[in-house]
Amino acid sequence: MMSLISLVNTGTALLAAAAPTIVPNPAAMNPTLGWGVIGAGLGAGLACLGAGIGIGRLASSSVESMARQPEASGDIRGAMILTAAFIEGVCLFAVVCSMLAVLNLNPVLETIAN
Amino acid sequence: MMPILAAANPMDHVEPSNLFEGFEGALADLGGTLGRIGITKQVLLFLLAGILTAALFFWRARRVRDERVPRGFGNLLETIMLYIRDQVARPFLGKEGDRFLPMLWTFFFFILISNLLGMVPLFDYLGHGGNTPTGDIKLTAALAVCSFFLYHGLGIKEQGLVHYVKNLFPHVPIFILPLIIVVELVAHLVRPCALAIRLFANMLAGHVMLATIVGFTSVWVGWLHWGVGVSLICYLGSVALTFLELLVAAIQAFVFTFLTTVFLAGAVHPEH
Repeated sequence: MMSLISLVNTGTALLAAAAPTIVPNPAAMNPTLGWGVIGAGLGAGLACLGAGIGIGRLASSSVESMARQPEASGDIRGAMILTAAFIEGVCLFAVVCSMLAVLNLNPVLETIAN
Repeated sequence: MMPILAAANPMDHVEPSNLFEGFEGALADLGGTLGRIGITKQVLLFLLAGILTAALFFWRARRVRDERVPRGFGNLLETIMLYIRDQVARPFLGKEGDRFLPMLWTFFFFILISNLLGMVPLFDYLGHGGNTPTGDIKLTAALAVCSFFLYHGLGIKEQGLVHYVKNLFPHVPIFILPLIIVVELVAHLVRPCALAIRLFANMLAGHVMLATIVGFTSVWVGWLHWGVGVSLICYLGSVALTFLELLVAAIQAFVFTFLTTVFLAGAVHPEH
């Protein structure tokens, strides 16, 4: 079962790849903007790495402590979901930055043209 | 889902758009007029969420006045409210923090209902497809600003202005105090921004991802022998993603309320 983060980052990378249809002609005509799209895709992917490591460690230590002390598993489950939401929030800050980069490539084209 | 499938790209349905944009004639003119004063479809859904929350609780309050033991839907609401009181408010604010509970309950239920309104398929014809009202950074920033003024205002009311400002910064030796002041000011200013962006990014990303995967079903129009299988998988995937979105809606409402409680506890009872 894929996690939300990897799916979201797939979505952003797909969005970056589909950017030529959203930013219609300039990105297709001007190869300089392709680097911007690559940057956005790379940024989203690297953010996914960090969040994946963080949530993986969270899951492993929480499952281990639930196995050690089953009567505390209710509290541990609550803390696990809460902290997973925080780590995912950090990843999504970076995803928002990549989306801003991809969708604002037109001003870059204008400054290059001038 | 049909306006989402018909859109050119998955970001189309999450952008703020005037109401009734797909229609022609008088409705579109009304949508344009409202759009000029800033009422987009997200703002309308936000207002609807507020009306729904108020109506729900006024109705429940009237029922609670008559009966003592709740049954059915009232039981659900009371369970959620007790969960927030016992697990979120009491560990941080103590028993005398019960007077802050109505505000925390308002935050939780308002954000929960706003998030869930984005999952209702009835609003797909409002603009280019329905969207969560909290998927707009302006509206989540408004919520975060409300939370900011709430905890700072309550802290100032509790301790007086001079004591509150003195307690904002930890007491450290005088020679690193300028650095500590700068760091603490930045931390205080970043907290509402983090609240706003966390809620906004979770809701926006969920909807964009859902629209992307639903959009894959129509890509294979020319290749029906591949298309049927992939479209079926995309359809099942979008059902699973919708369930995940419902879970994320509840979790994000809870995280907003939890962080507001933590900041409120820090403002009202400073440790040092």
